[in-house]
Amino acid sequence: MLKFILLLALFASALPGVAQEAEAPPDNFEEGLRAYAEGDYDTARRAYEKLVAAGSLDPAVFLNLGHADYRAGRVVPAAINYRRALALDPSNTAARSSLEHVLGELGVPAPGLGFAEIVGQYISFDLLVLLGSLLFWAGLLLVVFVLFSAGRRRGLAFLGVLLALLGATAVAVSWAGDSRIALARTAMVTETTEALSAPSANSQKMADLAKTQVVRIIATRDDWSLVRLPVGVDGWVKTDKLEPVFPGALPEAP
Amino acid sequence: MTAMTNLQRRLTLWAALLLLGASSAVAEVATILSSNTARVGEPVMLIYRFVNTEQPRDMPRPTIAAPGLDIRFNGVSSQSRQSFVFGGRGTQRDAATVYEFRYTVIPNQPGRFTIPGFAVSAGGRQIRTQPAQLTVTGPGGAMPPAQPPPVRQVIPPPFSPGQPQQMPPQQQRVRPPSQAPQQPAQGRTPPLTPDGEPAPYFGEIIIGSRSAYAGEVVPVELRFHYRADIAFDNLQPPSFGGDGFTAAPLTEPEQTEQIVGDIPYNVVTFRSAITPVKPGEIEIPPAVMEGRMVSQGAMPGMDPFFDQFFRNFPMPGIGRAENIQARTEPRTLQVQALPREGRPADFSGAIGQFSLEAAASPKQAASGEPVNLTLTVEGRGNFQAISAPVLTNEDGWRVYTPKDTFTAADAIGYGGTKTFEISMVARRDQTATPGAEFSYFDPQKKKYFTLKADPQSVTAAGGGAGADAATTAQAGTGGEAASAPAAPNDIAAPAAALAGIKQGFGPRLLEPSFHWFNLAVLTALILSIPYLLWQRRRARKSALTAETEAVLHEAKSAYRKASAPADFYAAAAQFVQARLALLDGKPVALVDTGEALARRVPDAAERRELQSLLARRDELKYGGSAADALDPAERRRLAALLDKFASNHA
Repeated sequence: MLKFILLLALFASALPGVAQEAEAPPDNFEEGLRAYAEGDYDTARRAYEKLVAAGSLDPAVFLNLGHADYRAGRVVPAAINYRRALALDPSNTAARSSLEHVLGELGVPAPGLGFAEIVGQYISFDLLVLLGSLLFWAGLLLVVFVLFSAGRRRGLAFLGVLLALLGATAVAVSWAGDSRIALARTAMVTETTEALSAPSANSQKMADLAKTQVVRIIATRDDWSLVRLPVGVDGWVKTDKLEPVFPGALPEAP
Repeated sequence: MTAMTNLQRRLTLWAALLLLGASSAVAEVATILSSNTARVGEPVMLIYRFVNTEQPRDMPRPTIAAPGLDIRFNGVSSQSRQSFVFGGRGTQRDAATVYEFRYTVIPNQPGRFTIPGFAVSAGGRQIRTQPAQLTVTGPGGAMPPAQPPPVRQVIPPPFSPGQPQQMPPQQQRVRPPSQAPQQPAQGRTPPLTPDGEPAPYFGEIIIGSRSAYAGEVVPVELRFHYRADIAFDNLQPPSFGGDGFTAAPLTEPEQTEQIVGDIPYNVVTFRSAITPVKPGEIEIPPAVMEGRMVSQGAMPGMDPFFDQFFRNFPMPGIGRAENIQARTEPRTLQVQALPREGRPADFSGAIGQFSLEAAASPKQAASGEPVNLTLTVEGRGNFQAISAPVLTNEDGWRVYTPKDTFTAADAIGYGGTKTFEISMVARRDQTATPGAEFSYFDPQKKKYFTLKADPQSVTAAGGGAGADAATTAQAGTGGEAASAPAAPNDIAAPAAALAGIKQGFGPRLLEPSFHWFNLAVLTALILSIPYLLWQRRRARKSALTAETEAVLHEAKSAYRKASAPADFYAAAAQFVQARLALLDGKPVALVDTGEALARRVPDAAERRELQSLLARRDELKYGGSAADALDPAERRRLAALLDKFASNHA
């Protein structure tokens, strides 16, 4: 039994690292800091964008890029970069307060903090998922062992059930709180536009979309994207009016 | 008769109350200089302001004697504020009256001069004015030693904005004053119309200086004069602006009365400030205030006789209305670029005269607790361009973005106080805050100055969450300034170093590798179930074997020790039965000995002998024909038979 759990942990630890960060040259970060301090926000932005293009997934880069965007008057990219910084590091209070400030300027309510988000400020969701799954399987293994082994160990069975429940709860919290899941395949509206009933400029208007509104992308077709609005209505929006919250390809048309 | 007496008593009482109210109003006199420093030949305005007094009758005019200064009477104005409250007890009156006597002071020589105070009589009371100090620089600009700091006085209005005497800019209607006749302005005459008559209206612009530096704030006053004996209405706020400078929004208008060349005028005054944006000569175009002049008389084209008649005997509805434009004269301003010589490195564009003060709170801060350093820049100048003072020696502190607030001391924001609140957290134990430096250009002295604020004594413990994050950030090992509280009205400070957090945008929960991992674990768990079952069965089997072996061992020991034939045969039969149970993997009690012997012992002779042994056991057990003792030879033969059986079927 113990051997099996150890094997399980060893197997889990062999999972590939989630971070695919590339070692970006630190010079660009220093250059960005220097340019920002001198008020040259465009240069700062370019320096941080180089880091992002080089594959950096450091929340500090996205925070500072958001700052440079904001100072350069690019409010929507600033909000997106703050969201990215928060997704990479939910405990980043600077990104959270800056996002609240930017959204407040635009008159958009800032996202609230639920229990799951608060948990994320203390432990990485990735680590929580790993621990949760390990606990779940270990608990389930204990239950199976007790059921199918010769002995009758009720205490062990109770412990197994407890561990399994604890692990499942941890995974559920990660699912609910990880903004990378909640905001996966979502995009932010970069300028006020309309959601239409068909991918044509002449089609019927379904809803008005405000700047920085977040919508879920269902499909794309040519230069149009089918999005699901928060009220549950689907509508077509010009793709150039959308910026994915997380970098990545938009889904292809069905 | 009695009614008359009561009326007289009431009138006397009301008169006494009115007198009491009038006497309770605080009378005061103020001496105001537009600047306490000037150069030789540069005019300075001197105002004596009397509040809640009768009009002083013996103010010195046309000059005030002061050595080194040429002080000339420039005019007098009065303002009154009245409000009436109608209630059950009659009418109550609240009144305040202000008289302003204006003088122009022209210094003749450098030095420090005192304009003496003097006693004047106002309504039978003797009031003494305060003396005023004026420091005059020579042509070279050299100041006498130990001079006081230059203060360019922005003359405050006698009543605060919004009070009844300040008419709204729209739909103003200027009427002839109801007060006593004003004193004529000495040495001033109104502009003349083409007919040689005094102009019924005109505008003038008063600029604080004829030259300025690019970026310097220059106060401006727009005055529009309207003859008090002519009705004007529909006066519109003036338009004011031009190329090469920015103009602050005009203040609410003030209305005063002034006699110019023996003609009473109502004066509407607006204040503003202009800021030149580039060097060179800039032209300040006329400010235009539109309105309508209503003159009494007959309609145009009417017989001169009737025209004169209606002029002499004005009647409602009979008159002429004419749209007018009161204009100030165009002016020029020489604008210089700020000198490069002596410009401090931290100069951020502040132009004016300022002072700098610092304060810190709390004086004691626990680990991670922020200390607020408050830097106050006070004075006059272009506050819009002022940025936070530069901190000096800020090592060991984590400093966050300053938050600034501005409190204007006048309507145009020329004078005021700008406060910068800087939060900082000690990275290590500290006994003082950083110091601060603030550089500005003084347009009067034509020099740059750097003000310094000393470090403030505090006791701040280092370490703590915020400080730790900052320190780690400095070390570049993953810390981040983001953990610090952000200013509520701005974005947070940028991260000073990479955070080093290894996490991507793809959550582990959605990763295929994670799914494969869980699938593998589930498969292993399912596969483990048969194994566990096999293990359980094996365990159970081993337990039966052990039990049977114990019976076997016991039976062997018993038949070796038995002396009575019944005991011997019973133990021997138990031995055979246990051996067969062991071979079949069954409990001893469940073994059918006859059937098992037939199946397990192929040797017929051996089988017969074992069956004979079992039959003898039954005979002795159930027949009761037991022998007294077992023949030793028979005992040896049977023991050998059992050993052979055991060895043949191990």
